[in-house]
Amino acid sequence: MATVNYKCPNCGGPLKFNPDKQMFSCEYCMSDFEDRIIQQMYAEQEARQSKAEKEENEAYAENSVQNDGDDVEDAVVYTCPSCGAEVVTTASTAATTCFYCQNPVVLGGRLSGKFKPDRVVPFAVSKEKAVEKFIEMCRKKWFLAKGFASKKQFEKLTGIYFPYWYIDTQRQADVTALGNKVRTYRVGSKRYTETSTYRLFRSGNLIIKNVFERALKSQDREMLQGVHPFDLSQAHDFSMSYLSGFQAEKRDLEKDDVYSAVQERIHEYATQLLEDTMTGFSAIRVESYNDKIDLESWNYTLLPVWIVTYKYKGKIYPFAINGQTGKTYGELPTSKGKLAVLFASVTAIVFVLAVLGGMLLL
Amino acid sequence: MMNFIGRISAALCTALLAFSSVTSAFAYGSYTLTDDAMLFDAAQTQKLEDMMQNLGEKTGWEIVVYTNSNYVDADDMEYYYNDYYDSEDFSDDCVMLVFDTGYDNRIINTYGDAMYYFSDERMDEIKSDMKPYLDSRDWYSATVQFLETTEDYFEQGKPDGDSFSNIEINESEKKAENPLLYVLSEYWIIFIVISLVAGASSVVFVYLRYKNHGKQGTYDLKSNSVTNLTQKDDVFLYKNVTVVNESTRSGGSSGGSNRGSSHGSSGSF
Repeated sequence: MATVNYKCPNCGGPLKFNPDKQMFSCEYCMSDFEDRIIQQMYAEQEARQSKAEKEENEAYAENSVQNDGDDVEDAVVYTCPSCGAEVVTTASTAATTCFYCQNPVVLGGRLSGKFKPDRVVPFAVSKEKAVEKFIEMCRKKWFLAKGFASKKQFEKLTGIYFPYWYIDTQRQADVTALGNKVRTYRVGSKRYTETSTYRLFRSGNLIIKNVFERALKSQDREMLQGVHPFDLSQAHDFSMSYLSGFQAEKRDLEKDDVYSAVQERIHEYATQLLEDTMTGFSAIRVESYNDKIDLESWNYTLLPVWIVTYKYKGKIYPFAINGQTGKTYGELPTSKGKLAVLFASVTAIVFVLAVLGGMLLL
Repeated sequence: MMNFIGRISAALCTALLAFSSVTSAFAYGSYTLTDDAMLFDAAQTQKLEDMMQNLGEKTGWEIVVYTNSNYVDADDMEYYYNDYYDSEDFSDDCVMLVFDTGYDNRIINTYGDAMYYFSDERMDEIKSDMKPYLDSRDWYSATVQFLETTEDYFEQGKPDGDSFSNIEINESEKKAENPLLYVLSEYWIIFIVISLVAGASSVVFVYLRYKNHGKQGTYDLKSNSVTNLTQKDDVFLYKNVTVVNESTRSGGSSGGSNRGSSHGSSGSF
């Protein structure tokens, strides 16, 4: 397995992408480098090693097709370019850190050829800020279990680029629906309710952008979807250099694997958009929907997520922080004692208010 | 001058006496015998009045005996003569015996402190004591029996451990006496259920909020879409009209029934 190891042009120390500065930083000599400089320096090396990996990838892809349905994850051995140690990764790992010397290593071949992402959103939230955001979020959560919000929990916080499919579509769609208009009026002691039913037809050109779906089956789908939204206007053309200092996963879900689910969602969105133009009706029931795709583009995109899995009272909780916006996602453990206090307090307050209200209404 | 002072003194004494006599009338009880049905002769009336006066003074209650031919149904006796009690403005503490010879119904109503001397057991007892006389149309003896038994009950005092289901406390009196106690006693189950539901809902709400933290708002369709309508048709199909008759009556209720003063009753017998 060929690797790319980004080193400081000044001292040779490991280079990592710095989310705060949006530059590459050397932790040893404290130098900072703009991303275009590093990308130019390593362009040739990336291309050479990508080519070497291409055949290997294709062989892997074929193997994946043959083993479709198997849950076995292939283990892959690579050699750390810094210390020479043999390190084992999963087949989808595209960037990691050497377990022995802690140097960042990008497995270039994993993200080349047909597996080369179209774009990447670089990390904008550093690990320290991610922890801060998490602690800040915890402060507002009064019913969190005691001890959960400690910094120690988040020492293992890992920055990972996860693969996603992003779909932009332009299509002609039409919807037929039944809609009601209700009018109520009174004559003498009689109340009349007049319900007029209409057949509604809407046709139009729809542009729907940034529909996303995970491209990695080994991770919890809810978590990968829930960590959105990302601002795709901040996306860069893909360069492996952005992965330096973080982990990255390559996709293991192809377009065909998620196509029907994505189309279903786009149908829902398109129907919703056309329904939104049916104003003035109190009840709308869609009878039919048709569409014809004019344009559709699928972009393979890497998105930054800080992720940690923690164990609390025997249960494992995955937690994710959006590496671009700092949005937090994940199940939070609640304290049974605090919930009991909440229950008792609300019950007592409502009881007292009910009694006082009852007395006032006498 | 002395003559003037004497006159003033005499007037003051008279006023004082008049005031004290009124006060004592309230303090020592009184009686009212109304014999519209003419069941008693003059001698019986006199004897009954003497007995009623003595009983009234002894108990401090107003003793009422009322005979009539009003033809009140047995089911309505209690509330009809309860209204009569209210309209006549009898004393707060009162025992009233009514003979309605129209449909041959009788009833004993009690009020105020007197209610608590007439337990259900005593009501049954006094009715059975009077029954032989009533069966033989001996109204006078039945009334005497009623007065004597009432006196016995007063002397025995308020019974402990007996039931008092014959007593009906007026809703508004209950409310006015202790609104908190009234609300709690009447609606405590509803309040507890509402409170428990609110408490449980708050816990479920918090638990779900924590469980689903960050799941909302992952895709903003509005900011990620453009709609260019090319055709828009709204075709009328049909119309349905439903008609509901609405009552024109209006009004409200305080919530509880108000059927006159708080009272105890033997029920029609």
